[in-house]
Amino acid sequence: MTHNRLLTGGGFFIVQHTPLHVILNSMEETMNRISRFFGSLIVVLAVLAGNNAFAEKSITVMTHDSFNISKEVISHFEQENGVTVRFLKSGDAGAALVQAILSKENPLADVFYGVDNTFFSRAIDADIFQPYASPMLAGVPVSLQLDPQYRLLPVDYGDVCLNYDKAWFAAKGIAPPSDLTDLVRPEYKGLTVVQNPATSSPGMAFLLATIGKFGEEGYLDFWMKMRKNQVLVAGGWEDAYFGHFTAASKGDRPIVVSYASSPPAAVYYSEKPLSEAPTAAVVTADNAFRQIEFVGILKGTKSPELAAKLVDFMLSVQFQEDIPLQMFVFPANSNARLPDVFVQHAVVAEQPAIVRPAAIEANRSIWVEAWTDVVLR
Amino acid sequence: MRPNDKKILEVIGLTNHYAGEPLLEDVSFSLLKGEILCLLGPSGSGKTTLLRLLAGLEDEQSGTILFQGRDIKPIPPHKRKIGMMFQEYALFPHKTVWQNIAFGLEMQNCPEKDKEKRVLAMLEMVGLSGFGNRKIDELSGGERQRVALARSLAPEPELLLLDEPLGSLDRTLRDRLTIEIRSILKSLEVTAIFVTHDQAEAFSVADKVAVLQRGRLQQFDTPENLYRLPANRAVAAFLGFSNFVVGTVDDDSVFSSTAGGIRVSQLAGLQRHHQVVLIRPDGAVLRCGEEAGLPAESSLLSGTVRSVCFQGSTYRLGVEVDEKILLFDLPIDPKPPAVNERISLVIKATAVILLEN
Amino acid sequence: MSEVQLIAEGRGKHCGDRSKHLLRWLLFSLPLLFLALFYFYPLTKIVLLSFLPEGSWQPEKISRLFSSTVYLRILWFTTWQAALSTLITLGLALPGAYVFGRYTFPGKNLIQALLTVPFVLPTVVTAAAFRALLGQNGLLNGWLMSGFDLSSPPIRIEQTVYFFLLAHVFYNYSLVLRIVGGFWAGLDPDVRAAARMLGASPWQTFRRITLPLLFPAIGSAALLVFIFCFTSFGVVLILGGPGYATIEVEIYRQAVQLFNLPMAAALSLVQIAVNFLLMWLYARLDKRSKTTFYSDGATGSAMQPVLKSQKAWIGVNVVFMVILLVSPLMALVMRSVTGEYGMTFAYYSALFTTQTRSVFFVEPISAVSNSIGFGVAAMLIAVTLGLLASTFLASARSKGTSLWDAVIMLPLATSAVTLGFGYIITLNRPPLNLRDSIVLVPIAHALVAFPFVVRCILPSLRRIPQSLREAATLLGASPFQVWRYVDLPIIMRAILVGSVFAFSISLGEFGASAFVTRPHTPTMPVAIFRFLGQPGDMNYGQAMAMSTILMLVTCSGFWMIGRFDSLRKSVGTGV
Repeated sequence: MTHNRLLTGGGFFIVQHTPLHVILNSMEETMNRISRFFGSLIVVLAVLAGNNAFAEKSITVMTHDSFNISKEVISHFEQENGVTVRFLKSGDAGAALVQAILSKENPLADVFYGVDNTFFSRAIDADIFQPYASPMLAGVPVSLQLDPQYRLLPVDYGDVCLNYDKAWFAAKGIAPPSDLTDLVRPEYKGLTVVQNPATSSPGMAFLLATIGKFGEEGYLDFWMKMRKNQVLVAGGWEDAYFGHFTAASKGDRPIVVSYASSPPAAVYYSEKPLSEAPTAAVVTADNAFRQIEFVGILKGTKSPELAAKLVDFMLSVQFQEDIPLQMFVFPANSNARLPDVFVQHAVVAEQPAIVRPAAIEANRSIWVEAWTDVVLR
Repeated sequence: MRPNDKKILEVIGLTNHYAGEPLLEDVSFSLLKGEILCLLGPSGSGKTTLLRLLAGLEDEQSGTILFQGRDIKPIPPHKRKIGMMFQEYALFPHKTVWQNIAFGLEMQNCPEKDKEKRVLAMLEMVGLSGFGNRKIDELSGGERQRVALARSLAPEPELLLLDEPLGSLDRTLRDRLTIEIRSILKSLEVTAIFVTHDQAEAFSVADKVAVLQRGRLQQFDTPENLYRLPANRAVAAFLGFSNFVVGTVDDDSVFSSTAGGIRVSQLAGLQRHHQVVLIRPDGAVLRCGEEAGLPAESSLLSGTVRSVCFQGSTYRLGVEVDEKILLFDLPIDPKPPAVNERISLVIKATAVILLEN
Repeated sequence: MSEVQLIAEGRGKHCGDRSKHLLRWLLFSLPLLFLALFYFYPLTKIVLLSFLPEGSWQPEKISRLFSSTVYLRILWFTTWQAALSTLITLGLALPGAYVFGRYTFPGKNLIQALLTVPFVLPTVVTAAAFRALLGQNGLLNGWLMSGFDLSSPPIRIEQTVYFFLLAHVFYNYSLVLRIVGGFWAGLDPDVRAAARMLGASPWQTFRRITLPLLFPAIGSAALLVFIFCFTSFGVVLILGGPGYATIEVEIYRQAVQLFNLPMAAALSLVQIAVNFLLMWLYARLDKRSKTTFYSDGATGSAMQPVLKSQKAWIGVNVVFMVILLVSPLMALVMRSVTGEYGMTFAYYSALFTTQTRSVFFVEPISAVSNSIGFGVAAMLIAVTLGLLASTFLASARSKGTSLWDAVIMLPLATSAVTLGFGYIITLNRPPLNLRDSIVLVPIAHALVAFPFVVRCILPSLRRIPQSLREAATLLGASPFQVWRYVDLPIIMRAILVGSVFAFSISLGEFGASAFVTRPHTPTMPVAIFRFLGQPGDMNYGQAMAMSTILMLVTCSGFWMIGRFDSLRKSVGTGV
């Protein structure tokens, strides 16, 4: 035990001289030589492909696949600062963050958008963001500001909670759920579909909601009952929502884990104009988990001033007001006006369940493992 | 039409081993321009190896091959101008008859007009005019064989190698094609080496025959000489002879055996250590009744007829002499003796050959 | 040992003069360089980095790999589901391969093109297609419930083993059909006739003669199917439900969700090792069973069915294929034109209007052209490399060959997440600063497609009798001319099959989601995922419409390749 600790503790200094490191370096050396030879070919290919990676002045934003924003909004920033904004997408929120961490020696981007509070501690521990106390934070509620050192700044949030199919409950004459504990009642048998926290971020958020509500002692007991009540576990949000939810496709589950902002999306993206949302979100106290997304300036950026300007811009009213209809989450800046469809159909959780980010990172594997044992095995 | 006396090919001390087993052992011979050589030998005797060495498909381990006076070792196979006709023809399945024949010409960048002429001429030569557009899988065995011959001849190779080209055909077709191939080769004055294990085929095609056994060249001669005077018992046996009689050589050019004394023609080479004679089956005449004395240079052999087999132009008799069956071919006139009849045969001394055992 | 055999075996040794040897390795150097740069280098570095964060070895991070039975269970599940999927796919697809290999019939081209479409469909879309057909409220359950007056749906395969086995068959059927079918067409019917004349029943003939002769192709196809199912991610995740997890899923979970890179690396190595062992064994077996038998008509001459029984056999197979493979696709098409209020083309028209104002919005037509552009580039790279590597592998008969054979297959068996992370930390300096380059997309696709191309080409290349090449040589063809005029035309069909799959792999973006992408050049699957990322009828409908377009593009592409093949054949013989 002591031996191990010694090794890991003092490792950095020792290993500078180990053969493995030498091997790694020499491998790199060889590869560099080969790559120089191969390089010209690639350059030709790149030119043929019309690669404009060498544009004069640009700033790069790394983000996850779900990120979206309006063209005019970004153009506004580009024109004002005489710069091109490039976006790089790299998988889901978790995968994008891991890639940012792995490339910290030689960052791919200047700004990273989309660390959420479930990955917050991982990002902070990896030390990849540099502090920036944006003046725009004045408009952001303190409850969203988790980093006192201003490395990660809150930019949007969404409440993960239950959604249900209004028409289905009306037709069956069953009262729709208003609390998580409703789900384990006998008349709700086989009605719910959730996502696997091991592979889905809303799934993880919902697991955290149950941990926040029932505590570390009680959440497994709740899930045991959920299992008895034939909860269906889907791999990801797309599959749960479009594959099983009665209100979205030919599914057979009238209750799904989704966002509090999903009902306005259902209205906004309906085939014909709707006066009322076909689904409703359950946002009563302690029944939702607030997923806060953060933006940060990556260490090693070559244009920190521009990056700071972009972060300011992302927190500004113009950008913030564009967020709801592009990503269907809520803007962090409380000065931003919500679009009509949000005003009419969206609700915000009054008292979301709370789990500290540090506790999430530390216990994630234990909680997920325990959940898997109870629900799936 | 006579081959001129120019040596086109000279093989000197060719040796090849594979995994310690000799495939070829110190093989030497030479060939004149326009000659047809037959490599004759049983399976595994090294015929194909020799052919592949000549073609350059394999590398010789030691020895030299001089082709038109030059060592061909450094020349890659596709530049040797040596053609080859393969055992299973190796026709290109994705090309038509025409395209197969034109292939070699295309490789030489032959002008389109000449190519067309040449392919037409080749088709006509092998009797397949009008077959140009056929696919290979629409051809019969004999037709494929002709296409293969036409293909290998089209680029006018200096030397043509034929690896058992008739192996998979039936007897009648074989006999006919053997003669056709010879006349085609002769009319084009092509030097050729023909591999076969069938001596009848070898005799009807070749100017020279080389007998290979276990990688060694046993005899290199004209077909006539080979037939008249096989070099040793092994060669004789391979040529299909089976009338071997064991005994000792007498002073008086007589070979004494348990079957009686046999007069031998070949006095010159007569040596004490020769202990076997071969009696060629065509060297016997039936002795009718008690005629006056034997013709000169002949001997008498008596035995019992055990089998009579009609072979068309001759009867083949199995005659038991001293507990051994000897085979003799007799003319169909007069009527042959009956089975179990005791007969006497007059053996011409020219048909008796002394062999090394 | 006969003379011919001796020579055949001696060939490798005797003929291996230095220049030929050099030439072979020169050919192989390009694929090898490609693998070294885009596979071994990133992989080695990410594995070393994972095991030695900050240079120290942290065994406690992967101690659970040995102490917990969970991983053993995952490995076991991964293996048996892959084996079972492979067996079922082979069993169902072999009769089809026979029909497609031996007979021509009207619509063959179209059916074959349709059958390859599943290959490019994103898993979510496949799931939607099967649910539309077999789900609780699907068509079939609907009919059965009304037909037999049932109160609950009789078919319940949601989140069961059967569902993802079915999906694996759906995905891989065409793989077996094309690889084995093409090879089957080249078998000489005379051999079967000969066996029949020797008193073998049709079944005995198949088992004792045809099957062994087909082994190289069946083996190739089976190996690909197995590896695909072994590394299955989305299919098992979505259709099997979270109760089932393959190693690939666990790698993703460890790397992304738990950020336990050592464990992810260790599992990646396990996955690679298992597959490598299998591929190496197979390569050895394949070499030993190498059949020199070759028909003169081996360019693939299928015939018209004559007998009633033949026609019936074709009919049965085609009906089966339509039910298994085409009906889910049709269900998808139906879904894309059926809205909440009946038939509609609203989803299609919505695809072409910029109502979202998004900075990432692209016309569907440019998503199509992006997909095709990447697909063609990936196909060209993969086919070039695959040809070179196959030529190298086919010309060698040494012991090392099977090892190289297995090495080439590795990218297919490697976790995309692991490799994607490897790219992040390696391709980060000029001239290989490719992490976020558009060039990386076709390269990553080609890396996966390249082993495929090799598996398609190698059996055909190995089957060409050496004597054909020798004949060409002695007719004056240089080594290159031999390859150009003998090998290449004979393996053209195999190359086409390889190209089809290389193109499809790129269109379907296998595992590419783990790489950094430039969102301004989305491909069709990316466009589909964008729609499925947010709630709403229009999003779902547009995803289905986009999937239908993806299907149409793929199908017409394959159909054209099929037409080209027939055209090429008729031109080739019409001189």
